[in-house]
Amino acid sequence: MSLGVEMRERDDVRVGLSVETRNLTVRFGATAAINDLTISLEPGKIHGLLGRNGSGKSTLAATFAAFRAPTSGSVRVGGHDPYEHARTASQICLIREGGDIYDQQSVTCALALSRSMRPYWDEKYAKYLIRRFQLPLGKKAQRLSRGQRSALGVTLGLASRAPLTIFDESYLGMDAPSREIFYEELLPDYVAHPRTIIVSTHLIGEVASLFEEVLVIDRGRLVVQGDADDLRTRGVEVVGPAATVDRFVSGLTVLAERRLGATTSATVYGRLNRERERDAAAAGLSLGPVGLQDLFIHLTSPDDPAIGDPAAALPPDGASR
Amino acid sequence: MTDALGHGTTGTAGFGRTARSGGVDVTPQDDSAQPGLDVGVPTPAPRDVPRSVVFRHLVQVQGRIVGLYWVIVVVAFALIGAAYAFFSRNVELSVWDWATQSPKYFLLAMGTILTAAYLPVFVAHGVTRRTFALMATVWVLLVTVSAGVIMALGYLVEGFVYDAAGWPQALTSPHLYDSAGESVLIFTEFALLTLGHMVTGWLIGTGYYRWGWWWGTAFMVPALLPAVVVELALSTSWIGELIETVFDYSPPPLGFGVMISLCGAAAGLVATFTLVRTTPLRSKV
Amino acid sequence: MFDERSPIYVQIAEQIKNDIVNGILLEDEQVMSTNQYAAFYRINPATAAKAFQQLVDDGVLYKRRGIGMFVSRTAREELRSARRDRFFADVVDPMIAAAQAIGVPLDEVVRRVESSRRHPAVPAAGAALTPTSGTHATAEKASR
Repeated sequence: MSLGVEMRERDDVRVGLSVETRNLTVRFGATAAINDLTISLEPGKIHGLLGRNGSGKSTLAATFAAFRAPTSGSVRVGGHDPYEHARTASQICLIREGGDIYDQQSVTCALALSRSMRPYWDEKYAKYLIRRFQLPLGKKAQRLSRGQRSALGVTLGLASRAPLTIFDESYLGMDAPSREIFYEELLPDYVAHPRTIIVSTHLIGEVASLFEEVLVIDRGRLVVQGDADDLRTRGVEVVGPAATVDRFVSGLTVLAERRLGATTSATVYGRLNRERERDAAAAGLSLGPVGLQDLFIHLTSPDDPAIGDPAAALPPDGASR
Repeated sequence: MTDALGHGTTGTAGFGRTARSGGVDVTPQDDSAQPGLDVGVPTPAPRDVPRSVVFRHLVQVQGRIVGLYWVIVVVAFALIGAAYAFFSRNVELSVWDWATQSPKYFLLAMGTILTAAYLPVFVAHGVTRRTFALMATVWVLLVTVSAGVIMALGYLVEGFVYDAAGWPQALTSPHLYDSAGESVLIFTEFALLTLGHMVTGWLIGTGYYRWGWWWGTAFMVPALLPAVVVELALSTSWIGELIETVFDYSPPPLGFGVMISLCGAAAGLVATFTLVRTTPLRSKV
Repeated sequence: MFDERSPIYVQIAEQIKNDIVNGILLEDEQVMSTNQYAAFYRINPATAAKAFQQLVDDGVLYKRRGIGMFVSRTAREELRSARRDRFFADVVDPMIAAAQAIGVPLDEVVRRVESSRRHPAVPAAGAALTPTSGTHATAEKASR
């Protein structure tokens, strides 16, 4: 489906860097943090990178930004391997929590550092964000609270206007009002200065509507990648008498089941067409939405390794039925 | 959200409207007219982070520390000299000669922090490791050359004061030079010694950043080589004396000594360069 | 603002269609741009754009290049007639089924419908609802 014409009226091509990996593997000793991952991120979109702690999403972001090199396989940003490639590296900004800045230097110095090194830096916008987040300019970075430090990181990331900007859990230390400011600033600035933005997080609820595309990573592998809006509704909860539910969901991809007495609640991956919805109503079953947060929880591995990998049950491209 | 008649049950009334001022309004409302959207301002072409910026930054941050060190040394030894002159009847010895041990160890320490302190910040700001290593190498050369110059100058200034007071300026530790006036030899000795030590420091620090405590410590042994090579090649001060007496070792002629020192330092720099280029940034956890 | 039962762009399109049917958005009136929309509801502009494109494809909106999106002249009539078609399948039939399930005799249902025809409880079809000034003002302020 062609996208809204308004956005594309001025440019046919999306501004920003594309990101691709092919058979990417990153090992730490014997464990593979990223395992044979092949993905492609289109330029100019806001991508959500969802994964639990330890899923490999931070490592993935680090390979995009040339913070580390792959153990095997390849990464391409804007068509080039970013590792030790000056022209590409200067266009990437990865903000990890708190930012990679000097602890002993003040906020002002951190801004000056970015100003001198980031080719697309917007000083006015940075100062504006500092005011909005109410960050004390003279304070040393290590003296800032966790929330302030995160706000500083987010400021540096936004004002860098880098064609590939990655926020790796950078706003998790911030309190709710500060996170609101971040969301409020991110969208309009993205619209005014289109670029590729990747937000890596496990706090999905608040931020899901900002994404154009979502990737779910688990244990170093891709679970599903798709349109964010589409993925939001790709789950159905079927509730009713156990036998009826079991009959109804046979043949569908069931991610999870809960029982309370005679009632079962089954989380199904996929969407039901109108006909099936009417069948459910006729059978006395109630259907409910699942939402991205819960879908994410069910699609990624639980702590108990005895329970099988639910993502393995997914159709290869996660196509809805 | 809506019932079948299409009545919105949430407050959607009027949301889609644009501003009106009586009559039909055709004010351009597409996004090119939005304030804050600088259409027509071209985005700058991609460019590398200039090396000069990287170097200038290193100078600014490290330069302060190194500069402070030298100020402290000069002031301290000026004070020591004054006390010495005050409390002893005959001033015979050079006070500045006592300052000769600390520069190499101080600069070794400065070398150890180079990678850990600067690599993550530079790489995170889009600088390649290659550029960082090159600019840091230039910095190392700058610092060690200036150390040689400062030490030579120190002797000369002291000699000036001593001559005016009529005091001899005797040296107490063995050096390449025999008197305080041999500035070229003084410069050579200190430039090479500090170079060897700073390179060793940089290697050690890189090993620790890269491999952590266990392997970092193991790596310290080979990493000491540049400093050891220079010390052996030049054979000065207490180390030189020690080795000469214990191992019955005599140092090579000066020319060879200089060459060997330079090679040792260069090898250390190459090793550091190779290491740095393949060093990942540590995770934030 | 948007629930999880259907994609956001579907919900946006539905909202706009509702406003057209209810006479809140009039024919040839300009609608908010996708970016204003996205900023106001804090959603990705591509999602808003998708909704608008769907409406353009369906003929509900039309685009004037360089100016914006406008409501088609025929939009209201077409939407209403489509809803009329679905009315019996989506509203009346389920109501009858529900009445039967509970045990309400259909005669009573018919009597109720008859009485409402004589004394209308809801405004007659065709009258435009007055826009709620609160939401309207908020939407206007946000679009600045």
